[in-house]
Amino acid sequence: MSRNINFKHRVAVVGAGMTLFRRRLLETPQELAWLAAKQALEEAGLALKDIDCVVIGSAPDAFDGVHMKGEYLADGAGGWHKPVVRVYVGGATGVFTPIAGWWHVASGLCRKALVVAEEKMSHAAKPHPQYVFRYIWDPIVEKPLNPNLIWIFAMEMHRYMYKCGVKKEDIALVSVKNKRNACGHPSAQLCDPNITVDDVLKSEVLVWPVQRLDVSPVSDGAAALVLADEAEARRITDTPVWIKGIGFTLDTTHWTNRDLAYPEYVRRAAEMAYRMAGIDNPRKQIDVAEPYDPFDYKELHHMEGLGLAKKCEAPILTREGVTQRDGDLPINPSGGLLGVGNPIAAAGLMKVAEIFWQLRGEAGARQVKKPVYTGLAQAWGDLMQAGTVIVLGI
Amino acid sequence: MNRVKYFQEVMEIEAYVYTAGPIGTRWLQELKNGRLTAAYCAKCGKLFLPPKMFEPETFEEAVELRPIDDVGVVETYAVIHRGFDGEELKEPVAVAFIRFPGVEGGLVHYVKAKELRVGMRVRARWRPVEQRVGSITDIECFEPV
Repeated sequence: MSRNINFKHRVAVVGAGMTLFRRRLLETPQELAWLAAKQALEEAGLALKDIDCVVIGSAPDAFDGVHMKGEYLADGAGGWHKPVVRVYVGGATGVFTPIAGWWHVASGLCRKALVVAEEKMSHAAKPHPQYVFRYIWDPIVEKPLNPNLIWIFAMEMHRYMYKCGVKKEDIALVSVKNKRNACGHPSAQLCDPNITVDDVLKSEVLVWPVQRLDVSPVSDGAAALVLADEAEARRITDTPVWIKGIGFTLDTTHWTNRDLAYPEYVRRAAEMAYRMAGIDNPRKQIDVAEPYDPFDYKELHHMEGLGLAKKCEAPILTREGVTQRDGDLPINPSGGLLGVGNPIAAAGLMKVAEIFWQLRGEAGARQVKKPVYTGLAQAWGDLMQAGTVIVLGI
Repeated sequence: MNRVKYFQEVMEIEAYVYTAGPIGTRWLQELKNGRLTAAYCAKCGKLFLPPKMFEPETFEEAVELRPIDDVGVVETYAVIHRGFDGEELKEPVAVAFIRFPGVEGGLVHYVKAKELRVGMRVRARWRPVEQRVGSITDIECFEPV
């Protein structure tokens, strides 16, 4: 992809919406999708009849417990007598959904697209939603060991700590920052204005070095965006936010074949998005970012993969306060997955919505101090090898 | 003789717990009371099934349930001779898609009738009060009016 690539249409985000993120919401999955979609349409001043096509994102069917979840969600996502697709790249889905929406509009296929992500993890009730992940492992070399996800994250975290000489105290700062940031978010599940590094370090050890407060919660929720081509966007709003670049990559399937201290899958996805957006110095050109933070160390990991920090530099920037809301490079001003919550696909799309609201100056109590013109959101998933990146700008 | 190694796994969550949603919960409660209702969208004036908090075509909110007559019209039907595992049933069982006048959508349910036909009017046969649990099966079946 060249830097001067000419797509048929520029694509803008013109509205966003989301539900509360909670451990257990009363509404059905369809109803959650509708709440978010309706809010996004209202923010754009549009009705469902104005929408040409619908893109749905949702993680494993096994969470909601409905096979063909995309088709099931279609009514709630406005997919009624319109072209509809559902995309799914595990945890990376939330950012992949607007990427798929982008190509619908950039290609000229649709002028206005509704993008909806939903997750209802509470349905997978017994023993725990985590059990959905028991069957992602290689049946020959891994499954007989009965692994769970946290084993692997713990090993990745430890490798990062070892390679970069990072202490648990430095990593806990991310959890503290994000759970405090979440107090400005009306949808947040885990706001804690008084949390300290000590609280994180004293929380129970799940799989060393991962402790309970290093991890994002299990959540229900939905989020939505309205995308439009340039002519439509200019009719709809005076303040469109443009999608300037998109990128997505897979790394190898196998843990044993990856660099666990550095997320190659993010670097490649970011480079693709940066080329399209004309960004050659992300540390200077990105004003605010929402990297994927299901675990606190992953925010640091992903900042480095995104080129927002040099290798092993993210903990230092964090300690110096650079990544705070009033810092020079605000990271996860929403509160992220650690603070707002983690209904998988909806959490990723929440990050894109946050950048949209930040760039429009509509983030309320969460608005970052410095003026912001360009921002990015990133997610991570599949068998922990997918990277998805979107760059937004005004 | 096995030429490759096989692995056995049971790939399921032990138990799912589904929410019926706020309006779905009320709809089921009404069934328990022996009343068939449909969701009502005040803004678009539509009565619709299955019940949900929004009307899917107009995307308007629906907060109300309104009682409807438990007499519907058979839109189509099928007759089951063999069960899930291919076993032959002692008696064939008929299921029908039933529409209700003035209501968008409808219900699928068992119908017991000697001579079932498309267009036939059928009425809900309710289970005795003490057997109702707040489920679609609180209606035992439909039968000719």
